[in-house]
Amino acid sequence: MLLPLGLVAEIVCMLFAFRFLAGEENYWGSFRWFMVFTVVVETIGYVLLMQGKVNHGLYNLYLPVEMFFKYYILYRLCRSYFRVTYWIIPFLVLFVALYIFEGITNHFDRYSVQSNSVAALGILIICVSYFYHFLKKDEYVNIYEHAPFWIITALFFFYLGGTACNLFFDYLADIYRKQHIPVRFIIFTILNFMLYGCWSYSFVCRYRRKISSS
Amino acid sequence: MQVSAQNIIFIVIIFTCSLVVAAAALLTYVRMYNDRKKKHFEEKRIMASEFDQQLMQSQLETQEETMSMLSKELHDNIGQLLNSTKLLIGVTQRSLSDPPDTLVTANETLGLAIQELRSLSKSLDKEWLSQFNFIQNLEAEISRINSSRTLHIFLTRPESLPLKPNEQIILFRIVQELVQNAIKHAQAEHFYIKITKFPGKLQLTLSDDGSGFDPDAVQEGMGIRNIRHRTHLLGGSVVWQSAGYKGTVVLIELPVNQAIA
Repeated sequence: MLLPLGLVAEIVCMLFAFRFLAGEENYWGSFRWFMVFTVVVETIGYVLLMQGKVNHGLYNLYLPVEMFFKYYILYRLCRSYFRVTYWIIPFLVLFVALYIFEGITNHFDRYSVQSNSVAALGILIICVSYFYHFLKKDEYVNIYEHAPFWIITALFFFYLGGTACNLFFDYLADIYRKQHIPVRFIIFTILNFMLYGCWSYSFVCRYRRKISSS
Repeated sequence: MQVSAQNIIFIVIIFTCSLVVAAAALLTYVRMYNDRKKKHFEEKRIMASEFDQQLMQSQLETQEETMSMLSKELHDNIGQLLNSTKLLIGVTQRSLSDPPDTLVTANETLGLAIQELRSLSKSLDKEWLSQFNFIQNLEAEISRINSSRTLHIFLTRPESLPLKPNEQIILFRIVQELVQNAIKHAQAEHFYIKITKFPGKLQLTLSDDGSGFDPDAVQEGMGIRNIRHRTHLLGGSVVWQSAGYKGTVVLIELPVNQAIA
């Protein structure tokens, strides 16, 4: 039986979001509802997996919500540094086109890994651009107290770390089907811990900044 | 060529680990570069602060020189002219068997004017100021102003101040500026100066019963800017409190027992 450790990280992050982003009316507040949605999807996905059912259809529903949310967050966090829409629009268009193509081809019952990979590439490019412009900026920012930095760092680690799994998706799915070795599951559990750990920390940074400026 | 499952797992794990390490390396670089930027930022801030200090110092020195020159001019030129006038009036007074009251009053008034001019000249003279301490200078200034009856100043003070002579001059100029503000702008009748020594700091509370002002509404003038600059030069802080247009309280705090520019 696979332990849902990734789900634990998501629940902890959701609790952090509700505790430290309480009262946030702007895009920071939307993290709470995204985390609730993520936890619900992951729970259903885990239950389906335990029942021996295929949960790809569920994750295909989750994928566009996840990508649109992450691109929206990147837009809000990066727009003061560079023209992020130059990257967001083409990658989102490509993502949607591929998602529809894959969905129609596979009848939405096989995970849309190609559209996920394209969207991940877009996120990685935006993250690297952010780091470049962040360092290029004249003013000094303390990264240990800067919430946006940790949101973007988390995305960078998650999607760079997940590249190999996306590239070898078919092989790994085959290995799991035949030999029951959950390589992808294990890697993504570790990456989930990194992603949601950094996000939780960024929520704390955001909270500290809010109380210190009020 | 058929690749075994074990090889694929191995490749995926190595590939993933490499990418995570690469991400960590990039993050480390960002952190190091940012730390360097912090150091550079800090150095720039210190340099800007030192430059400001030097600029203020030279501005004040120029101002002191101008005041000193003005003091000499008052004493040597206008003072001499007034003295000659007084002498002539005295001669005229003595030559008349029954000098008119207006001439006697004029002579007395002129005497007072000469006395005032001498005091004013002294208070502007840097060399004279450096010979005496702040308390003595302030008391002389208070007595000069009190005698003019435009404002009555009350002073509560310690025996001495733990400041160097050049710092005492700067502080004296601050107090002079505040007193002038109370006379010119606030039309105050009473002015209170309270100097208190605390461990590590010196506190001056200067208050008046004048018309006061709204610190947020009033545009900062040359006088207030000078006071701020001078206090900053002493490494201290200054706060104006004036609520309800009923008098003004100025609170100055200066660090003592430490190096001040």
